[in-house]
Amino acid sequence: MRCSSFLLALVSSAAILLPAVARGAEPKSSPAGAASATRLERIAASQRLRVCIWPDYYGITYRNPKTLMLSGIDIDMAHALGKDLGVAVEFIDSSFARLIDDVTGERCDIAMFAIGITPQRAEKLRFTRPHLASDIYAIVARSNRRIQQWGDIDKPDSVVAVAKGTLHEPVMREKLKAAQLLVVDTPFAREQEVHSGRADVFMTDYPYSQRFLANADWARLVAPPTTYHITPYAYAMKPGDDGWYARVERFVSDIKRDGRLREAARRHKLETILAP
Amino acid sequence: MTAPGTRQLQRTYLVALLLFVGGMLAITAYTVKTLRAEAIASGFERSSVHARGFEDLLTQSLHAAHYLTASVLAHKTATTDPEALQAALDTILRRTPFLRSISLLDEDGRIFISTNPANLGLTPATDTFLPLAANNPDVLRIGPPWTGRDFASGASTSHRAPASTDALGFVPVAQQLHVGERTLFLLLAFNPGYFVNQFAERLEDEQGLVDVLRYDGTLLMSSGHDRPPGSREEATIRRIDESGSATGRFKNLDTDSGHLSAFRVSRLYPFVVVTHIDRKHALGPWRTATRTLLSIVAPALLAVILLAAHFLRRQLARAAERTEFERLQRINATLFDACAEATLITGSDLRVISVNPAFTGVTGYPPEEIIGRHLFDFLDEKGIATFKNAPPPNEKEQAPARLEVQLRGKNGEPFWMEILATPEPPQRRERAGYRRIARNITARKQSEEKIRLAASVFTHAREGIFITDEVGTIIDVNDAFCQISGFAREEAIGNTPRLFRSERHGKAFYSTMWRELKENGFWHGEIWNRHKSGKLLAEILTISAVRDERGRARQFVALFTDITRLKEHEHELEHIAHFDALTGLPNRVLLADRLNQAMTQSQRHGTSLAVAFLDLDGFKAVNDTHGHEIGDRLLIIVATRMKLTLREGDTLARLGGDEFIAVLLDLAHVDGQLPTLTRLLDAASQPVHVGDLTLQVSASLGVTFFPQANEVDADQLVRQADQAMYQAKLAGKNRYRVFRTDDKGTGCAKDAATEAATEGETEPAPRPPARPT
Repeated sequence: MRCSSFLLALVSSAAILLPAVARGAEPKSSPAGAASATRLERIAASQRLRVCIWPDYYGITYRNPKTLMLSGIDIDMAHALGKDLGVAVEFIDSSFARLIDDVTGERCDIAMFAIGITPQRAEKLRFTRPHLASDIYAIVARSNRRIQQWGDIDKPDSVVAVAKGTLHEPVMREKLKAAQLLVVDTPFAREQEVHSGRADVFMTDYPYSQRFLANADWARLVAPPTTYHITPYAYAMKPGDDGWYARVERFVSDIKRDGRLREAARRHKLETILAP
Repeated sequence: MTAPGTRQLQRTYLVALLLFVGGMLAITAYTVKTLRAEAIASGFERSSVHARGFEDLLTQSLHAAHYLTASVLAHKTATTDPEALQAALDTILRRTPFLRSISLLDEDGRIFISTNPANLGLTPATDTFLPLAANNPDVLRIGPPWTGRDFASGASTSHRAPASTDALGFVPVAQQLHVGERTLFLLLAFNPGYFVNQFAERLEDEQGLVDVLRYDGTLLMSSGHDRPPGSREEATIRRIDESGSATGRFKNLDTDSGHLSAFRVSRLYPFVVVTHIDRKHALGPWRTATRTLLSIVAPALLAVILLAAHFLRRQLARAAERTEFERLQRINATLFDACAEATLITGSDLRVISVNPAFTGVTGYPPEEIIGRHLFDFLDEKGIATFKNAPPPNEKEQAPARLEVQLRGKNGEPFWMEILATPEPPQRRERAGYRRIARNITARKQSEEKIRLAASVFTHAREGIFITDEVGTIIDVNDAFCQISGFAREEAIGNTPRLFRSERHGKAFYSTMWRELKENGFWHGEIWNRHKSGKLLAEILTISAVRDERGRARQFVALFTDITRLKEHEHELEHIAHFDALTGLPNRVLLADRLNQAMTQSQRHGTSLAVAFLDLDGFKAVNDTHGHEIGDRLLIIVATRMKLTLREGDTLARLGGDEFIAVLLDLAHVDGQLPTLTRLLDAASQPVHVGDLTLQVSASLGVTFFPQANEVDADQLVRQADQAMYQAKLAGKNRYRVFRTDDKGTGCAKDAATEAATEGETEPAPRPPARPT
């Protein structure tokens, strides 16, 4: 309990500090955008908001492969932002591996897919205050008799799969002592490794695990008994545009205050990970 | 009901109940048994379906892996371009989660290409793979399960050293392939977890488990947690062998609860899938159904038994009640028949229902002549009118309404009946009415008449009547009592007869009265009582004691008649008989009485008495001269004067006319009487004033004494005195002469007396004329 409150404090301070760090980095990249019109003006002019999403993110920004319909809390929030700005929303497929490039390369105006605020990302991107915060969870095959609880994971014979570019990669690299870390290119690959028995578990966050378990009947969840590593999730933008940042920050504060965030979280069963 | 009857009823009930309960139990047992058989059959069916499904899955998977790999290798560039081959195998692996790795062995048995780089260069032993390669090297061969993640880190198991149940493992499968000129071995590491997951998904742990056996009985994989891969399931495989069939089922009773097992031999490859459905689990629905059935049947049966018991008890109670009712009815009927009181019962329609023998006895109507007939047939017009005019009986009153009417017997003789109407609640198809019971009250009527008469006598009698209790307190009086005694009814009641007692009777009188009453229960006599005003009343009183059944006097009835006037009259009569009407002096009768009494007294006390005979001289002349009225008045005055000269106790009587006799008592000696005699003569000779007349007479007096030497009686004494008076007359009147027995003897005196009497009547003596004064 003490541990978890400590971590929460850490997360909160990170949420406050990181934008400051990002701001600190601003001057380096600002000359390029200073001459051009602000992003808000451009959005208003083009009448569209380009939002980067990761279409495999269950519960957050998920595209159903059969219907191609998008759903998730951040799909709802992106629409809400577009509505607030009075423009249409255009979703751009991205991923955690391509996140920084897509945002800084201005493929999109904002990345909205519950991006975990990690120091590596914070160096390149500017985050809003967090709207969600999730711990790390493990997914294991039902038939796996060796791993029954969290403590069984970090053992010499175990193989732990993570997707490249996700926040889990650096976290697990740091945390695992005995088990072998298997970094695979895609989230699908890590599932495939576990399903075929080449890996024992793969690491994911709360929203992904919930939606994944709902669809894969061969898998089961192994949850940490206490707080393991809580990561705050936020929206990311290219640094250097204070007006845009302030607008999005106001939007986040609005959705938190007026209940739109909570309502969407309730709809997507994510109330438990709403950021404080 | 009799005891045997009760037992019979109980036995019938018991048998019926047993039959019912037994039948129900039999039906239930049959149902339960059928359901159980169905559940077992269904369990086997499920087992078979799963075995078929899983065999299909495994065969398809193996076939797919073999086919995909073979098709890749069939490509011309397969052996010439190792990188392309590697990429092709990786692609296959991504699509086949049931494969851990795909490797290719060269002719030397060394892995030269593998999806898992760690496997490269290894020479896994394939000689234990079955079927053995010697006969047909091109068939798919299955090795014993390995532990570990892949060949690189794994080791083969054997029957003696099977894998641990929770260890990571895989099943190696080898297939000889001819690629171009080369003969290669495809070595696949099958991921048992994939299939176990599939099994577990469709057949949860508690429902049963799935084993996959190589055809020699080696356990390749199992969804059971306690079944180590690599061990040999000898019994099972023998059973399958014996069946000689590709599919089948058997009961596996190795475990505690037993399994419903089914197997299916792969149609392509050397393995068999065996499913074991947990018998206990398969019987679960049956158990639930049985419990439900029993939970319905058991309470229902219990309820039926309880109801039956309750019903039986009620039947028995009713039977007992009926018996008791019949017994009471018999008693009532007997009572009714034996009842001495003539009784008739009608229904609410007034038609006769029943009569008892006493009724027949009184009226002469036998039951068959009267039952069913209308009550009015036996009433006269007056009776019918009485009946019809009677107020309707009040239903709220408990007591039946009563009517008294006269009925006529068969011979026309009337008799009184009292009719009681008892409300009767409505019966089937009948309105509520009144049941009527009539009983003979003729005797009572007669008795009432008697009482009425007696009361009338009491009230209207001319005799005074009062009734007291045993101690004499008056409890009732009649009108005549009040009229005679002057006391009001209220004054008399509560008092005793002392209220009107007079002082005319001494204590002795009353005590005698009480004694007689007590002894004889009766007293009759005359009594003096006192009227309320104080005047005396003479009564003839009769007191009768009213005795109770033990003979004790409880009440006294006293009748009396007022005889006061009668008494007064009697007194008058008595006076007339003994006294002279003119002078009021005792007459001859009383004189005789008194003289006799005096003689008795004189003899008793030894005293003497004198008898003096007086005759007035010259009275006849007064009578003749002045008339009888004057004469009478003279006589009254002279007699009064003469009486005054005598002492108390002496008697002066008038014999008639002018003759008097005086009886003088208690003489000490005879001579002592002479002054008295002289006074008598003087008194007679004193002048008498009658009106204006002054008259004077005298008297001649003869006296004799008693006792005498000879015994004499009263008559003799009077004759002697008369004789002596005669002598005095002769001697010149106005004098007296004493009779002397010694002078002339008894005979002489007697004679002389007779003479004198004769003379006196025939020859009146000369008298001096009356002198006026």
